[in-house]
Amino acid sequence: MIGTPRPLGAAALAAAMFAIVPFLPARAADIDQWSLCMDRAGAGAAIKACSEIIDAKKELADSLPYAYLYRGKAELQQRAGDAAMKDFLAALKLEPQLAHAHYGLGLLYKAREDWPHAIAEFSKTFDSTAEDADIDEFAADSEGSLKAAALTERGYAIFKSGDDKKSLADFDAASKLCSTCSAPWRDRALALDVEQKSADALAAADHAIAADPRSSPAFLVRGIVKSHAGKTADAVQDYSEAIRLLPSFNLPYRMRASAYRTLGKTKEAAADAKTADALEQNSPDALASGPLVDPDAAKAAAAPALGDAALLKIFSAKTWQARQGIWQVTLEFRRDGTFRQRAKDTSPGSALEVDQDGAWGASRGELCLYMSIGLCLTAHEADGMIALTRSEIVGSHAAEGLAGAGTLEYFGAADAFKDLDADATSDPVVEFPIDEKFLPGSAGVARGPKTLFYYMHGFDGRARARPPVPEYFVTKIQETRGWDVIDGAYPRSGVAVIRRFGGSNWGAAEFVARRLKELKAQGYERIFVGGQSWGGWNSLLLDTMRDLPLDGVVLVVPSCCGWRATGANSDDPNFSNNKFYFDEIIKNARYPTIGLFFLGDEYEPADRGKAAADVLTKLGVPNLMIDHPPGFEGHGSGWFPPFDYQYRPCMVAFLVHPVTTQCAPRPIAKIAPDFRAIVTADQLGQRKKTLAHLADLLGRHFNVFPDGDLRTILSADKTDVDAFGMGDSTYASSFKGDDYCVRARVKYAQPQTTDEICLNLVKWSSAEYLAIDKATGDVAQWWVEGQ
Amino acid sequence: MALAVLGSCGAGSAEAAVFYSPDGLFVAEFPGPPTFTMTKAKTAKGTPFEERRWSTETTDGIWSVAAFLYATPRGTNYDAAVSGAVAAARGRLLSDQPIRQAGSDGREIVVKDGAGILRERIVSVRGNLYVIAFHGKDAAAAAALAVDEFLISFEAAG
Repeated sequence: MIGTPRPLGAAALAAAMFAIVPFLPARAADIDQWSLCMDRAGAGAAIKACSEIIDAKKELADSLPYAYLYRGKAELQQRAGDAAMKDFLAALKLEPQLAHAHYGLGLLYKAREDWPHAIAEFSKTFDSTAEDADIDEFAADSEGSLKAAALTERGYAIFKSGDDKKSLADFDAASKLCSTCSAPWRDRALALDVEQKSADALAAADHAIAADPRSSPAFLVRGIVKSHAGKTADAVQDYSEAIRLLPSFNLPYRMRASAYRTLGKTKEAAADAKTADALEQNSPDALASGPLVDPDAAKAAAAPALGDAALLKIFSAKTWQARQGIWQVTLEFRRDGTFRQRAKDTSPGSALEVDQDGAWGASRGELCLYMSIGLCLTAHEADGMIALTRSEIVGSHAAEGLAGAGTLEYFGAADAFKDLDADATSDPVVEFPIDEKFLPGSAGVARGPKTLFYYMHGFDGRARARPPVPEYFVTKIQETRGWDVIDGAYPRSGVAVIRRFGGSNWGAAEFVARRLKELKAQGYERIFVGGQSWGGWNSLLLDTMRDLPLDGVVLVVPSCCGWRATGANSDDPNFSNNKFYFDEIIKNARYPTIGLFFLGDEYEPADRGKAAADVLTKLGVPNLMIDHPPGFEGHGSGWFPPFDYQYRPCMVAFLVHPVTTQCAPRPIAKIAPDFRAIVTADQLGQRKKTLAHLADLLGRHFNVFPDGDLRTILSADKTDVDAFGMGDSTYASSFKGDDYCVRARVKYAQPQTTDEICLNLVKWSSAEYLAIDKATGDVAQWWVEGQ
Repeated sequence: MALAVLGSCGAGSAEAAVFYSPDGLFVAEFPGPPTFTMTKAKTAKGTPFEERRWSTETTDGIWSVAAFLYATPRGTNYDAAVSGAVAAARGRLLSDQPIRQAGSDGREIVVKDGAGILRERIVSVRGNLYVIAFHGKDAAAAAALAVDEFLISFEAAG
């Protein structure tokens, strides 16, 4: 799973002079409790946290179902079926449409082979209109694909009920809904196989493998299809690939044992049957012997792992032909960090070829490939051969979905490397779309060159809704300079291939590179690109690409990888790659560059700004590094209006006149004359403090910073909130005396602090309000009337 | 009396540098450190006001921002402000355009006077009047990109 509980990070402006504490301490469930409940730290912790939330009896009806849902999911993981069923039903009693509760019930009925009930629950999942109806964890084949998964499961249940033909309709519909999903094709192959349509079944299995070459079940099914077609020896190869991909999966051992028996290989059959038995009994020794590899590969794999310097020397700017299980592969490790794998299935009679694009990097003794999955490897060399084996990262999002540390992935001759000149400009990797929203510059302002600022958001981790508003300073650039803005976001749809980390970043950079050329041709005389976090990393990559019509780049907390353990989050070792990879990539920067780095950034492993300034200056690239500006803390600091007040004029001046420099922050006065400069109520001085009440605010739309929310107070007890990553919600709210109080809600995979938060809304101007924590006097939010 | 607070952005080059007025009233990109003068006077109707002016001179011309702070906030009468500006310059009005300046409405005028061309933006923000101006030897100097950027860079506190 990727993303933080709050994608913007827990940004807090903690100036030496003025401190902001965004929210009061939670009395009921806070974001950490909800994060734990939502499976941040495993099933045991989830059950405990969800139970505490339920038992506290402080949640409103909009959030409480999720505590039952997630406890049920955790219980399902622990194979506590009865408890899970009870919790899914409790969740549905509160929210009858909750899609994941129906899905969980469906899985329980499936495990019990109660096909009629399974079909009913998967149907309800598919028909659900709840907010979680098509939201799922971010994984290789499940980006917003719950409906497709429900159809696939329903098809499978129908198939198991004996209606092969009817099941095909569901598999077809699921494939149409999710073009990246492997499972519908896999199960379609099973149904066609039963229909004795071997050729069609084999084609469907191939399609399943092409959609996800890392799918162990897809190879298992192809093996079954081949076996039924009498190609037992060929089936063994597929079972072996299924085992290599997922050594802890029992069924391929079982099926291979059967195939070996058919082939008269009784010793091998017995060994596989024993392993399958052990896996089914959860024996810790089940895989003690490890997966089988050929002796040469085993010898190479046993050699010491190579270090970073050796990895870079061997792989950088090289192409290499090697074996990967059933595949013959050609790997391109491009100098700029882009990566391509061309794989040919060497199975007898197979013409399957799968190409995957992405990124690669070397750090901490690991060679990581980022395609539809993250695959981190250690490299070993012996007798002129190189073996790449799965590394032993525990809990890394880079290795998500993988198991079997030490398993051989690639094996080939050390002298098979050839020089490679290709890069993202000469031979682009496949694009990854950006969801663009055009925001025209304020009329009557623009003079001089027609200018575009292409600015990309961070990744919110859910295919729920695009961020409702740009960062405050971006809007101010649009307003004060009259520059057009393209507000770019991680796509909600149109993703042909899910790619991880650097993989999606490079694809996005290719997309934007093409768009910049198109936009230049449309008449823009000056184009700047920038972004925050994921968008910042895209911008970093664009900074390295040759021949772009690009006049400057703004990198706001650029991040490719994981985040530091905070609160209930579990640690992510991939987090340090935010620095390792950054330090390598920035060496190739070409365009005037602004870098923003904040203290306490959950994605900042170590100081990157100073080193970046040194590198860029040495390269002769004009640069402006705003490195750890005092008073700002956290990944989302760029969203604060005070950041705009203190730094935006200087940033814009650099973009317009790119000369290497530094920014002195605009002073914030004790009695401040500017809305953006107010961080504590004391700064209001003698200014009349007009508190806003319901009648002042009813029906008006406000952009709320630093949260990045769009809010509308609907009534005395309801506020509509369109929030970053959360989409549209109605929160319970109230006016109590001078306080405006609101209770956020959680959504699927979206933890929040659900306790009541009360703030004073102080009118600054007809369109601007300051939300002040009356206990501390600190400004927690800046409200600006918008559309 | 010189009291300039220049942000270091762009400092050390011949390019514009961000200037934060020490009284917090505005930010603008001057081509060099501006000097400050202040005048106290009264309007024709007797309302006291301060004129706070920051200006700098380069080989291209004179660059300035003037803030008129009234003892009692005034309504905005841009026509009167434009007439006053033309009269003060003792020149001839060449153009007069409505503009948006950092979220506020305003006017941009071009005036020919005896010494050259005056290009000026007049903006009213929170009852104060701001005049952002460039005076150069000819129309080409006043139409330069650097002048555009200077005028656009002005933002009043608000």
